[in-house]
Amino acid sequence: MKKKLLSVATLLLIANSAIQAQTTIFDKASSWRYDDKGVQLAGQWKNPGFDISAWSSGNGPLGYGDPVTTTIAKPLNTAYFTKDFTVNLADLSATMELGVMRDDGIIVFLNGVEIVRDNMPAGEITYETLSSTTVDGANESIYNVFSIPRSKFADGVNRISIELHNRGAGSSDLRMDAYLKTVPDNGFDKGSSWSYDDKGVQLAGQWKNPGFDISAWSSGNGPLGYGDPVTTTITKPLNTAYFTKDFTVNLSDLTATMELGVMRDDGILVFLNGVEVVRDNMPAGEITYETLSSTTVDGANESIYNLFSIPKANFVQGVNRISIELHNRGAASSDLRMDAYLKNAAPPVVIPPDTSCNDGNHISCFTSIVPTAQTSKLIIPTQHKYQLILKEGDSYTEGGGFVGGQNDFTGYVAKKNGGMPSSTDGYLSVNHETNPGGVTMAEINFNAATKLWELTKSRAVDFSGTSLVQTIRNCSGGVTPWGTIVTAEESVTGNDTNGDGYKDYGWFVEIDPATAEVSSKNANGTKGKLWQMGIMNHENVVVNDAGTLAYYGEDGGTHMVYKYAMDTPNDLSSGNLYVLKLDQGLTNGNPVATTATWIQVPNKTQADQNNTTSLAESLGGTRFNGIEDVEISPVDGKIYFTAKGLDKVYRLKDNGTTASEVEVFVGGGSTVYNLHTADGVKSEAWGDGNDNLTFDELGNLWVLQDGGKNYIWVVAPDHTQANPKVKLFASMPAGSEPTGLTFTPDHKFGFFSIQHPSSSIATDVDATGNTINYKGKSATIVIALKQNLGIHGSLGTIDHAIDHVIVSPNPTSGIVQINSGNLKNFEVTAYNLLGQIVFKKSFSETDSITEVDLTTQFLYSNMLILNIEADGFQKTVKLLKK
Amino acid sequence: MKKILLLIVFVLFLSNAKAQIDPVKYPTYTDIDAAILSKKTVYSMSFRDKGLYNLPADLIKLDSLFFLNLMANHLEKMDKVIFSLRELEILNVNENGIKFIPDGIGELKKLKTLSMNLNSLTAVNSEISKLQNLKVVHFDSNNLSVFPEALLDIPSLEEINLHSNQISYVSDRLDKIKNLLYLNLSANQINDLGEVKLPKQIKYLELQKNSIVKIPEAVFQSGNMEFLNVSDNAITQISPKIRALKNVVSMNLANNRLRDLPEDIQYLKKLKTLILVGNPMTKETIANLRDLMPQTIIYF
Repeated sequence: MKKKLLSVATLLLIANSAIQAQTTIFDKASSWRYDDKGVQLAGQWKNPGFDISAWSSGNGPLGYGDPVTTTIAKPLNTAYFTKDFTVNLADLSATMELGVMRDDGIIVFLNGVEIVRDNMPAGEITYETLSSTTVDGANESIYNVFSIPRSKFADGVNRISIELHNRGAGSSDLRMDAYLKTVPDNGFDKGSSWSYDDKGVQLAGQWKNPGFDISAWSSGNGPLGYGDPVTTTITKPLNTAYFTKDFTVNLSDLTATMELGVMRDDGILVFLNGVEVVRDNMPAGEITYETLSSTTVDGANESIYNLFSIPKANFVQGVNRISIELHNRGAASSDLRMDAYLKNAAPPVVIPPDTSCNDGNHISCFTSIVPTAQTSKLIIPTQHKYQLILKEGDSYTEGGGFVGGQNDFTGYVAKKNGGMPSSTDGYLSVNHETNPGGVTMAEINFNAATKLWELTKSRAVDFSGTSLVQTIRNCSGGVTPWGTIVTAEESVTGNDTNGDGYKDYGWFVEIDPATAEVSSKNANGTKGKLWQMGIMNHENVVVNDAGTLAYYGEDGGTHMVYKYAMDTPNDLSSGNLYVLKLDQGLTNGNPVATTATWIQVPNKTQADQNNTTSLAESLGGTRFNGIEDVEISPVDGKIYFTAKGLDKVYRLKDNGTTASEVEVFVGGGSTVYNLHTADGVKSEAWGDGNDNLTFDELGNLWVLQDGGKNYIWVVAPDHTQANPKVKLFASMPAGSEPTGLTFTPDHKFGFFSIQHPSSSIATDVDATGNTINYKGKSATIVIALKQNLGIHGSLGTIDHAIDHVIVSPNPTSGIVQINSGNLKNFEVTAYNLLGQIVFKKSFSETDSITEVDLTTQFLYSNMLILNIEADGFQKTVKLLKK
Repeated sequence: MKKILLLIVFVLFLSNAKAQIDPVKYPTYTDIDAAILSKKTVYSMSFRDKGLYNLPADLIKLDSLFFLNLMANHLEKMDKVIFSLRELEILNVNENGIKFIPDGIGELKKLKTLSMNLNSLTAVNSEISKLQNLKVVHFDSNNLSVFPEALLDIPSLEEINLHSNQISYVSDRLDKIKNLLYLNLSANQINDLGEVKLPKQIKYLELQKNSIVKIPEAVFQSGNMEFLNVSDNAITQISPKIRALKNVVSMNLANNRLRDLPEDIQYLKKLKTLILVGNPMTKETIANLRDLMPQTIIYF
């Protein structure tokens, strides 16, 4: 679950494809004519038509003393360069980018007119004039970027002439090279030049405004920063670095929204003409130099250009100023980096509307959320609500101790009601992917009146006993058809603390949720682990409905897919073990052929059980990368599995000793899917980290992502890569990933965990109406369609309310007055924090004031939720005890 | 006398209980503030995946900790505060960017398990040999180029895992680590183990994915060996002395250059699993071996 197997290459690919096509007029290292005779030339030398046929020529860089392609005579005070090039004015951008590597000073003429004077004094310049400063070190090799307006160019042939001045004829080096290219109209490109302030102090608030004087700021091309590959290295360490640049737009050429791509490590605020337009990976509220980003950006996420849409309305005709403040995760962080581009947004893709959810009553019926970077809150579709069930650090109701961290597999096991599995009464098993590990076993009930889940009991699963030696890193797992939980130890260790001959950790362990004890047994009757299923970095297990086959995969180690055929149905303690071998292997993460073979892996002796993976590897199993989950589709019966490191979900048809129809089902890090969102059609890349999988009974595949943007995706059963049917269900709060989704048998409710959210996330209001706080604590929640979870209306906040209906006093000692006007069928219900109804009263007609006495109820609660309903009116108020 | 015995039993019980890290008896805190504020003694702390560059200084106050997990952070060094935790028995610093082990490591005298997988170690500080209670060390996936000599002076070690380093030289005095049961040197750059002497107790030996041409004679003197993996090497023949591995249950010789095996292999009566895939053996050879060893399942 945890290992971040990221595909940098694919992300860079996406990033690159975002660059607008660009025309290079002449490139670096192109050919120049030059004069190196060491004398003053006539003033006309720079004019078009001046005869340069006798001049030498050679490719850049030209000069001496530093690496050059063409060596010229030395020593010189000044060298003269020129070249002709042809342009079609209509193809040029409004401003053109001229990049010049110069050691030391230059004056550039276009068609005889001076357009650039850089590192040279003002006034008249002769052969003898020396540059203003010495250029040395890294500055000798950078291409200084200058913007040249299109109006300076002529249609057809143009002549550029550059005089290159030394710092002194005694200087050991002199060098020049240059390029000229278009820049995207109405924006700027990756790697473009920025002015920056890296002094490590808070700037005045006006720094971001157009007109603020940045002439004393340094400048350099992106990426800028330190600790990661950059073009321009800035001072370190910093909490915040400030960047700004001016660029020109023609409003009539802009698309309705502009695409801003920012590579940021770690958090940014972007201002356009002084107005904040983006806040990404940063907390809400006031931001200063000291403010740190919300989360650490690392791995491949450091190199992604995050996409933001900026409405056209934010731009002005002509020159605009973009200002970016880049915040570190901590001054001690080793890296800080930023680069950005701006361009017209691609035209929206027309995709047919989603018609899969006509009745709207299934949990999979929702409108995709709008693609987003992780924010400070959980984002789920507007059709859904969520309720916090338990979180890290909560005290157990029985047996002492408290809920562990890193909540992972979250399995609902239905209790039987009259022989039927209940969707309102069950066990909730939550793995803790920690070392030492653990499993929380809770008992939960759905209260039909409040439409809320209640936790009636919670305790730690008992892994004590010398025959077990506890468990570690309980990662994912599975719920068996016979109503037990299998928890998966993701780490393998070799030690054998209890001397039973088995390595201590790296096994499946079966748990009876009713007793919260281990139910798998050793041959001698003591509690044991499921030795014959083998030792590995176990991640997950799925058992078929018949209770005869189990499938699982290894995350790390062999990265292979395994199958286990039980000797006796519904008994995992003995069986034969197989590893999946694709007949022709994988190329670039894609199966070369559609067939595969299951190869038997020895698993009957302790020595073999303790060494499953090296045996499977020698026997030729196919190595994927990070098998995080295997599931069986209820629709087509195929076996689906994720390979996180390959960013793909695969599927195959199991034929017993062989398999067929092996293919990629969904994904590919750079695969972009179109989504119908409340904001219209949006695109989003699948990204990294497909992890836990779950099917609902309709065959929708819910894919939980660890890495990338930590989304929950939902893929329709009739999805194909050619005809994609992918929706976006959720975005996790900053720093966290979703883990271990399971559903109640009626599929009204889904339970999952939010693993390791950052401590900077925001509080939220869940379906109970209470403010919940799980900052820095892994949490387990239930999701459902709005109508199935919580009472109507948005609790805690006053929503769709009639303003003049007020409950007072609040806080109260018990008696409150409600100015109910003349509402009809007025009803007041009070709930305590457990969601229980503690007071309910109806009034068929009301006076202007209705009095309610809650004195008794406040004896037992410090806070009550009042739900006030009447014909055409509903309001919820949080009432506090004085 | 009785009392002393009782005390001994009690102490044994305690240490056993601790080793098991019962999450209820020894809940693992993940938040330093919660741990500091706790009215109960804090024994176990995990900062896994917290994005830390340095450890909180307050950690020094948790001087009863016997378990500390620092896995998957951004640590580039082992902060001093770690070495003030003298009760530590289990220390996990996997998946960081640690380049060296400071001298302070020698202070953690009660340490039993040290896991430093997936770091950037090029050497193991010899101070580690002061840890005479150490049973398990994991230095997988570092940049070690020789077998850490200091480990030879820790006879209590039962498990050494050094896979996926660049080790090309292994001391021939491994037998000094008398209690060693599990040794994993796979995926290194060993082509010759010289005259290596193995500890008598050794039970599992993993040498796969090296460039070993010849299995050293001493390996065949390990009468307690149950599992031997020498797959993915360049071994051309096996000595008839292999018959001395009388307790071996599973042997993986896959992906070598073996054309045949000595007939003495038939005396390995406990051998249940023999993997020979990826060797240039004929079907006849395999058939003969199967006849010779009816009690063994041969994978080819």
